[in-house]
Amino acid sequence: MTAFWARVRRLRREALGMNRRNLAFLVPYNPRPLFAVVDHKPTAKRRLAAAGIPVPVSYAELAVQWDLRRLGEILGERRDFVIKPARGSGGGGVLVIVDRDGVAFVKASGTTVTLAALADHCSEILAGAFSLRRHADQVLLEYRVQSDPVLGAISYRGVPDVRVLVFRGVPVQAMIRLPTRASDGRANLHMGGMGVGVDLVRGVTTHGVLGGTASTTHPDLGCPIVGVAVPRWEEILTIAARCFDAIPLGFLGVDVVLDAELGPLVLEMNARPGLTIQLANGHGVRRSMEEVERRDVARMSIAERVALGCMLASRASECSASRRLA
Amino acid sequence: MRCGAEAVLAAVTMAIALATAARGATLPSPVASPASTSTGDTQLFGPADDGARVRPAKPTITYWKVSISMEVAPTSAPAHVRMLVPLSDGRQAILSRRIRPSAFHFAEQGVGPNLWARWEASAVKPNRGGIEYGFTARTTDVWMDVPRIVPGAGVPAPTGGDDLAATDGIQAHDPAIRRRAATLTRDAKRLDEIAWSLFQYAASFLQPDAGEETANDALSVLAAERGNATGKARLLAALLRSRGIPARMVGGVRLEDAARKRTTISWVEAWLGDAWVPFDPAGGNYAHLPSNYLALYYGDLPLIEHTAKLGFHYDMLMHQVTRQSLLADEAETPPSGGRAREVSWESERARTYAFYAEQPVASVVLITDHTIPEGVIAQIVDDARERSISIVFLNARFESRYFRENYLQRLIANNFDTVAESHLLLVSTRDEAGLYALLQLGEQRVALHDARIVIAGSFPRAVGRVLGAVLYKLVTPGELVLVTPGAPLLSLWKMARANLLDGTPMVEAAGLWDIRPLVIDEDDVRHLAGWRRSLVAAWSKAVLAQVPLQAINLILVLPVIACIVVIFRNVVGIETFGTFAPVIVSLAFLMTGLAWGVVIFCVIVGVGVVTRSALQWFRIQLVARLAILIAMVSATMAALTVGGAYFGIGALLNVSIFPMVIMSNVIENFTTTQVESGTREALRLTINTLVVCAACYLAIEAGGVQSIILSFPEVLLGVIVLEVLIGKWRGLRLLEYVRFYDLVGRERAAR
Repeated sequence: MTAFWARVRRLRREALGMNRRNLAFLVPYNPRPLFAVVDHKPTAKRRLAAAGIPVPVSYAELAVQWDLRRLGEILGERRDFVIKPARGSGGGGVLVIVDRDGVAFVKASGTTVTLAALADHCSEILAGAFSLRRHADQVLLEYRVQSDPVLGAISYRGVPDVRVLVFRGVPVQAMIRLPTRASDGRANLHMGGMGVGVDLVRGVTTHGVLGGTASTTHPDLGCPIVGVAVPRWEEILTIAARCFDAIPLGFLGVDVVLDAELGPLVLEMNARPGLTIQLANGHGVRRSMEEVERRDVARMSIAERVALGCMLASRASECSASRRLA
Repeated sequence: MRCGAEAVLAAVTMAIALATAARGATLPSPVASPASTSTGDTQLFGPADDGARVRPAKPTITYWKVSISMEVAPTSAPAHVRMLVPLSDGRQAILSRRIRPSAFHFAEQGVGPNLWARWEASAVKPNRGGIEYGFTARTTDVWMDVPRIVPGAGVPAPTGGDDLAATDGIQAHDPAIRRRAATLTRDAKRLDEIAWSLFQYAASFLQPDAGEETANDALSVLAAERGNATGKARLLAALLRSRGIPARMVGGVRLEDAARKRTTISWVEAWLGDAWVPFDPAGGNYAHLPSNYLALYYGDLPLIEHTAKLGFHYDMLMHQVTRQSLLADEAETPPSGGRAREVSWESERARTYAFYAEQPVASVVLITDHTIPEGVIAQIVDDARERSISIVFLNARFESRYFRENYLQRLIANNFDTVAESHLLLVSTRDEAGLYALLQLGEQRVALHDARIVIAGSFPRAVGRVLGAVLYKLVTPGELVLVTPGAPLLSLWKMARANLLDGTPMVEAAGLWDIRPLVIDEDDVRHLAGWRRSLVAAWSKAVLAQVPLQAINLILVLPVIACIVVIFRNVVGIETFGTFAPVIVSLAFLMTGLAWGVVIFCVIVGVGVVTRSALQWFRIQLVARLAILIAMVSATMAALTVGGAYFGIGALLNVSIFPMVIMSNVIENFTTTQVESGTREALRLTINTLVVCAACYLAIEAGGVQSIILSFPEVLLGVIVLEVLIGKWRGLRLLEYVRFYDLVGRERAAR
């Protein structure tokens, strides 16, 4: 019983809950007008690109139904691309085309679709079926990321991404989101994607969480997902930290994908990042964030901020480990 | 301001004296002629000799069914019609009234000895101008003695000087009238002599010829020596008054079996020392009224008044009936108020029972819900029967509070007269539903005067004090006793019976059966704190304006439900479909009951989700798709309603309460969640939504929150403060403890 209360007390100190996230971090650090910027992918991408942050190339942006008549023309001879809603969330409405089979398009799952079906899908997107607040939306046609072999090896189809929680430009926690069979190629945790915490200092995966419970192996592939060293880790953290300079949202979830050829690319950003990342890492993020709040991070260089993040993260994980040993 | 408006209204109100239309009524045929002898020059006016009058051994009692139907022509201007309706007195009893619901706003208003029924509408649409007012009456004939005393002896008239005054129609002070009265009563000394000579004089006048336009005021009748019933009555009244005998006009109708009439008649009542004695010069009835005379009102008034320039038509349909058929009629009246088809299932849940004692010492109305066992009722009825107490028993057996309240209200409305005329109203329900049901009496402006009301049920005493004050203010009963928490009905009955039969004060009687009553009286109402008193006044006003308190209840309870939802979201951490969808849905639950509410919710969402998945194939755009969902939801709801009627499931009849648009949104959210996050997540959110709805429902239903808010609206301030606190609270939500519980324990596995 005392153990139970001790746990509860610790949770209260270390875990970041929704109420605190909203009141202590979202409201003061994320100015409302910037929400619109990150929620609209083309705008966010332009801002990031302007700041020199690598993003997947946009092929086209379609804004009206009329454009869909020219869809075939726009696509040209491209064999692979991604169709996504400009204001989508949680991977809804994303269609990944990996190849062509004559006139048909091959989806990531291997099934084929016709050009008309693609146009229909785009039409739904334009009508706002996938947008956050169901406003009319735009269609984004962009570069299909090909996963880096290291991460690709531990994911079931689809492209895994690295979610970095950045607070005031300081990366405080990170996890890899692995697609599973249940998540149908998407990296969304709600859909059954797997979250795998990454040690900020070493860039090595630590624990996995699947649907709220801990796991150390991939549910479909059976391979261990712990102890995998993420390539170009330093670079990933730096890019994530730089996003704050491009778009000054204090509390930001940056989704970075690792392309086999182009390296880390920022896929999207989330101004209301979820809190499951704590579960994937096995420790709460609240203390680190409060520490960042006390530091004068505005004067720090990007490298200093990354270093601070790493230091706080290692302290947090060591702290929780030592406490358990004692 | 208000007075001005009324003056204008009065100015445009054109009075039509329908009584003047009583041309062609039958010629007077004096039946009961008192002895009068004439010898030479001297005229001797003998008094009516009691032995000489043909006087039946026992009174004739007749029963009648009368319905007055009015038709108002369509108009875009505000219209009102008011009619004088009969009241019970010693000679006649109005057994029941039936007011057909119409497009008009109905109200009753007592003015002096009369009762006006008033219908108002801001405009009258074509085919919506019908008004019906019906009643059943028991009338007896009356034979009275004219006292052989000199004028001035005896008790003065109870109504004061009005009955001696001169008016436009009854010019009692006109010299011609005075002279004629003096001449006629030169030799008369005693009241009976004066009355007889004046009566005979007025009765001897001829009727005007058909089609002849004559003025019908007293003076004109005197001059023309002819007049209709009203004219003769006015003349008689004028003559009586000029001799210092108080006299008043009575407007009424001569009832005939299976007749359709538009004419009223008038007669006179004179105060002869100790009683009002009727004189009907047109009908030749001296100190006597036949049993088919129905008095409608007192005074020299028109029967009906209405807005000027209103196309208006009315007639009166009457039937003579037997007592048996009247009683049978009452017993057969279905509780729903007429639509016979619904009776079969309604009677399952709602029933009425009436026992009328032959010579009742008192009449009791017993209003209960499902919590009262059958045996108790039987016991009470037997007891009442033994003590020849008339008892009417109204029972609605519903779990759902909303239904109970509604059906009790309907039952009361259908037995309105019985309730209004009873000596004791004994109400016992699980909660305060009975109290609300009685408030309807206030809505109909019934004053109970000396009747006692006992209401038992479990509700906070403070709430009882406020709502009781509202009830007291509205119906002004002789005694209002609230018993909370409820006591066994049998004990309540004994307590009330002791009060009714032996006059034992309720409080005293209550002690014997271990009941803690809360007696509300004038003082309680007056001594409420200032703010609470204005609250009671406000709620009474609302009820008088036909706004049921339940409606205000629902409005006030909404913020509380919203607060519960906030607690669930921010403190417990349960996510739902749409933040405030549960608010609206749980309101719907309040009306259908929890179990059926959940069933209906699931059916609607189920059908919707299936439809929505089917729509996926057709690739229909969002807004159109939502519209299709609304269509599906409404079709489902219509089907559920019809199904409810078919299988007799009352709860399903209230499906329309379910907010269609909100339900459509829940369905759309379900599908979107299903696509984005999987079926499990969607089901989880659905269950969450239902859990929150159920919690809101239970909190409101069980806690009696509705009445608390109604009695103490300041609670809402507390609700707001609580919401501010929750909105500022940064702690972990309860479910987050569960979610993050492993944060601490799992590390060991990794290391």
